[in-house]
Amino acid sequence: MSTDKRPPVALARFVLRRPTTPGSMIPPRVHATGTNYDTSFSRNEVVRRVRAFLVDVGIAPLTRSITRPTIINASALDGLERPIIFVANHQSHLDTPLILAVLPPELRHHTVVGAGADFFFDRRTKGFFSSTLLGAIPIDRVRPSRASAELATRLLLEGWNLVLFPEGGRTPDGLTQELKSGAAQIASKVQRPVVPLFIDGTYEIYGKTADRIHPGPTTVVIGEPLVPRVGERVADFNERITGALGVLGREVATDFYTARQPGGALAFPAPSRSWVEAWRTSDHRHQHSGRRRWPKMFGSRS
Amino acid sequence: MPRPGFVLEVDRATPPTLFWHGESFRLERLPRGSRILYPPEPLNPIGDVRGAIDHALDNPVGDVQPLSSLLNPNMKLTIAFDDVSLPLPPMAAPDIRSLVIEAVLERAAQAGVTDVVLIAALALHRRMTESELRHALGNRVYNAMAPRGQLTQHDAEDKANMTVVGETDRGELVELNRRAVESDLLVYVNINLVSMDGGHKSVATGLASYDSIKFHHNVATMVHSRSFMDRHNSELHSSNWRMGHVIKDAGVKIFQIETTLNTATFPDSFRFLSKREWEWNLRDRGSFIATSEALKRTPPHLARQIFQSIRSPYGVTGVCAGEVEAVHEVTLERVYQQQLVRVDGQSDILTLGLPFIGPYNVNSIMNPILVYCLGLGYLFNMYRNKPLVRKGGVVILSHPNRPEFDPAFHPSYVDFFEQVLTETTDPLVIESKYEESFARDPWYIHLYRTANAYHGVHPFYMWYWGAHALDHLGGVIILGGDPKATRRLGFQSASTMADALEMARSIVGPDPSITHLHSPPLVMADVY
Amino acid sequence: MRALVINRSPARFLTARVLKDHLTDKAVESGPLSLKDVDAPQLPSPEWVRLRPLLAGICGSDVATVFFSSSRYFEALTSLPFTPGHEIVGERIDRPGERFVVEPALTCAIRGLAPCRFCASGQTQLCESIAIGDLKEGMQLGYCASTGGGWSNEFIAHDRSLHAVPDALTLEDAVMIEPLACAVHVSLRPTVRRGHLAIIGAGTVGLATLAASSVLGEYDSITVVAKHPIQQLLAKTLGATQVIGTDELVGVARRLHSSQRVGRYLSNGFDTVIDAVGSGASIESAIETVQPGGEVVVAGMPPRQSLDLAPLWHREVTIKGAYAYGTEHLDANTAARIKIPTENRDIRTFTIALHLAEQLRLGRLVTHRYRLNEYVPALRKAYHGGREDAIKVVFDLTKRKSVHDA
Repeated sequence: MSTDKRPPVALARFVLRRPTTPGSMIPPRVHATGTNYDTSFSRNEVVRRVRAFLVDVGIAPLTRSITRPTIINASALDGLERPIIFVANHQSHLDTPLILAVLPPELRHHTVVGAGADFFFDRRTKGFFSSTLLGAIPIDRVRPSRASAELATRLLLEGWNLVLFPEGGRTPDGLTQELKSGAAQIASKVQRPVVPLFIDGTYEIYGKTADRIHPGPTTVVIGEPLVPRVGERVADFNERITGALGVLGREVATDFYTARQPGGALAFPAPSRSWVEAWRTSDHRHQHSGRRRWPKMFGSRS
Repeated sequence: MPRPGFVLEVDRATPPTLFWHGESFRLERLPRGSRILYPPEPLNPIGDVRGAIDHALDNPVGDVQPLSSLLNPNMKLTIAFDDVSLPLPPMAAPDIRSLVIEAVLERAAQAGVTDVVLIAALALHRRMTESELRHALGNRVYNAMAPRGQLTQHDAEDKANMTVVGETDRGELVELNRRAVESDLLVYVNINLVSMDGGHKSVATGLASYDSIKFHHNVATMVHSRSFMDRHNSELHSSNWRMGHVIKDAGVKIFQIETTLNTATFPDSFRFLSKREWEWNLRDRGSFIATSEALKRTPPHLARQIFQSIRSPYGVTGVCAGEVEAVHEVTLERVYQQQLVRVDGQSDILTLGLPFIGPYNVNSIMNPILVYCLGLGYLFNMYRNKPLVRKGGVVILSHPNRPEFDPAFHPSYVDFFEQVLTETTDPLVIESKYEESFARDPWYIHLYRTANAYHGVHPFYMWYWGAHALDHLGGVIILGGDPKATRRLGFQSASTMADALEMARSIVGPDPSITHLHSPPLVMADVY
Repeated sequence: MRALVINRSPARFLTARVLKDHLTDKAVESGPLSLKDVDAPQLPSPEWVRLRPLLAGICGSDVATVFFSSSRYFEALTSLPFTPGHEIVGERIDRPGERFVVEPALTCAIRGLAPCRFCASGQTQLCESIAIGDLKEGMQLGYCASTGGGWSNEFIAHDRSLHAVPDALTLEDAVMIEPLACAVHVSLRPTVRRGHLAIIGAGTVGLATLAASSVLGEYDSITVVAKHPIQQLLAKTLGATQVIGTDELVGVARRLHSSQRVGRYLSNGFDTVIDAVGSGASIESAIETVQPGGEVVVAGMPPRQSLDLAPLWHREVTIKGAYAYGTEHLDANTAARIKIPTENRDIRTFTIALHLAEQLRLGRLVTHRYRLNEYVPALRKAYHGGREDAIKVVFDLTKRKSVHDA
């Protein structure tokens, strides 16, 4: 006969729960986060299809309804062959879903997004959702990291498109920032074309300082692919990408022709961070919220 | 051509009269022979508002140069603007302030002025929320200025950022926002909804500290402001004008931009509100019945939220810019043109329907103190020459007057209602005994500075606002008011108009003359 | 003799408890209390005398017993079946016409025992001898099977527990002496009787405490939380600086010193708060509105309840009980102020109460009188209290011609 007097409930509890580790034993393994987070599961064919489905029926339509994007030069995306590196300015968390919403399904379903390892992969659950829903991969934006670069290179060679925000973070005030050279470096290494995208309007919808989303219109200008030239230095290629983004940014505010005139205003990156610069870049759009749409948010104070 | 306002004498064929009753309406039949003061219809608005703004900025009145020529790249430019208390209800986008400020900023950007700061001229009002600022300024202005910290809200308790400009010849201290005073140019963008707003009051009150404001926001001043809507007979304004001269003499350069609105107050779904009852067509009557029946079945908090989400289709009737006093004369003329109606003789009883909104409960609750202030402060004072009601007469206000408070916006009101009004309702006693302790209460100051609370002293100002009426009247009755809360205010409540009139008769005598101030929209009586 | 008796009957106790809020009358009828013909209690010793009650008050603790809502803690401290009623003014059956109030505590001396360490020091309210000696278990007369109680035609009391009533006092004033003695004890419990005082609750305990505190303390202000109109009215006449509603206490406490209020935290508050309700909510609000380091005196009998004691811990609040009466230590100032002759300043609470009764005239708190056979409406009235415009409800036994006619 058993000498254990514990009631059956307590026993069942022991069986059902994970046993605790005695204090003198080795502590359980700490799960990898940040750049060490392993996202390979999210590129498994099953997960990829699930993500494609979720993006097509959920994330992309929702993003389109919030951002109401106008796409300029969409034809530049026709006939592009994987893998491509998409390089965009960064105004908001909405940029990633917006880019996915803008890309044609064929490209969209095979795309991974470089995301700040310190923000999107700081906890395992966050990393799981970032990589499952958006195909995010951890990129170290604090210092140049070999692990990030190697992962990006390897995925490109495997045929995945890559979205990168070389500004290294969202703009604090709506103005463009200097590009880091990581994207140009990776492109030179794998010799694949870089497609510049200029996104305008997401800062007003959900910028870094906003407390909630204020739906509104956006514009996405798609540039012609830039291919690294033979023997071109990384810095020079980065300069070319910067120039191309600058032209696209001016095109948002003016028109195709004016944007390509030499010596125009609205340089990329922004020459100063004064309000005057922000004022000039916003004068193409009078951003009055207009009539509220149904449903009205009764009692909302913020 | 909009029709002017007029006085109607009630006869047997007169349909019942619409009264505001908080978040609902009442239809009341006034006794035969009563007078109803109907407001003028909304004036035709300016078609091209942006053009009118440009014209005003380029052709200022008074001894001032056009705005563009006052700007240079190395200057300090400050733009102050009226806060959330104007206009009422909030204006449908685009708010006129956003259009004016955009035009000003456009010129500043062209001139390359980098040091620009916007200040919400709150005085002792609550800070505006982000969505209120976005609404008032427009997203373009907000997004360009707010992230850089160039959009600020006046903080009357931030002594480090206040500066004493001087004293008037009557010893009134003028202490203003340091940034505004030390700027090379202060542009003030106002909305002159009623004749009380604007002029020197914009800067001298809107950007001042408690120590400065208390010189004109007090019982003595308010009792001698007859009325505070009539700038030339208002001690409140005389004091502000004296302060304005001190500010001017101290070398503060003010470029005042005043705007006036018509009285197109309610959107199409509430069209019956702005029509005269005998002109209601089938649709108006139908929508009145549907609205008032639906409101009866709606819980008060929900009804409040529905009403607070109303955005008014105001039309702009004028924009004027330049030197403060010259601008304000033009503005006053435009306000009077829209709102003034001539009335002959006072009456024994004045009836008023109080709406759901006053200057201090935008996106919030109209508590009993605000009911008092709206009725005996604002509406009672909507007169020139003489009050609509005789000395010793009675005012009947229609409002549910529920003892409900917004704890976030009106924390000091709760204490005022529970601790001051239980002791006395005499403005002079309240002022001498309690004001200081509320005004200096560090907790109210903390909430005023960091949260969205009205300053601790603000409920006192509400009480002083009605001091002239309390002094003038023989009695106040709140029709449909919560009895307990009404008694706390020192008034009587009545459940029907007949009861209210009966109670009033016991004060003014039998067979009284009655005048009803029909609102909406706003109307001002010119009483002879 | 006729007496209201509480019997041991678990089913009736439960019925009373379940029905008390919605069917109060039914709860009394089906409850443990019933009007019976019983034998008069035996005199345990020659020092005991027989008395006839004239007025007998219904105390909050009696109501709680009848409706079985008091703490189970008291179950063992009583002896069933007993006749309730410990607020009594009566006359000696052998010497009719002489009016006495009874000090109901059944202490060592009463029980015929040598004094315990508390009795020896005068703190009779803490007496250890609750269950031993001549009598059965019971803290007070009115909870003990051996003595009978005030809700009857006759009971017995120890000679030493009788206090003669001065002629100047009405019967109503006299019946309020026992509650006043409790109030005097409560009022003398705070370590410092200065600054700002708040009293939560304006039933008999609250109002009597207010009256006692206004003469025994030197407070700058006394704030009384009163729920019902009659309570508010009486609180004003009894010397409250301000009378407020339940939800206004925090606001008043905050305004007192213009203190900071962050959520439920208050940086300052009343110097002392006396809770005369005894509910979880009232004790919590007392703890939250007293100043950090301040004192809360619990005067109302608290039932079992759940309390959030985080503010007690964080604000280092002292919470004190105040039960009944014993011997008080009066400082010279207070003694002089209330003009009580005292030599060594140690003085029985009852003596102070008798002294103050003439000045305070708490007879005005007696709002309702009932005959013994009207005990159902009487208890209903007492249970609803201020809600039905009642403060102190008493049984009026003066009408009965003879006690021995049964």
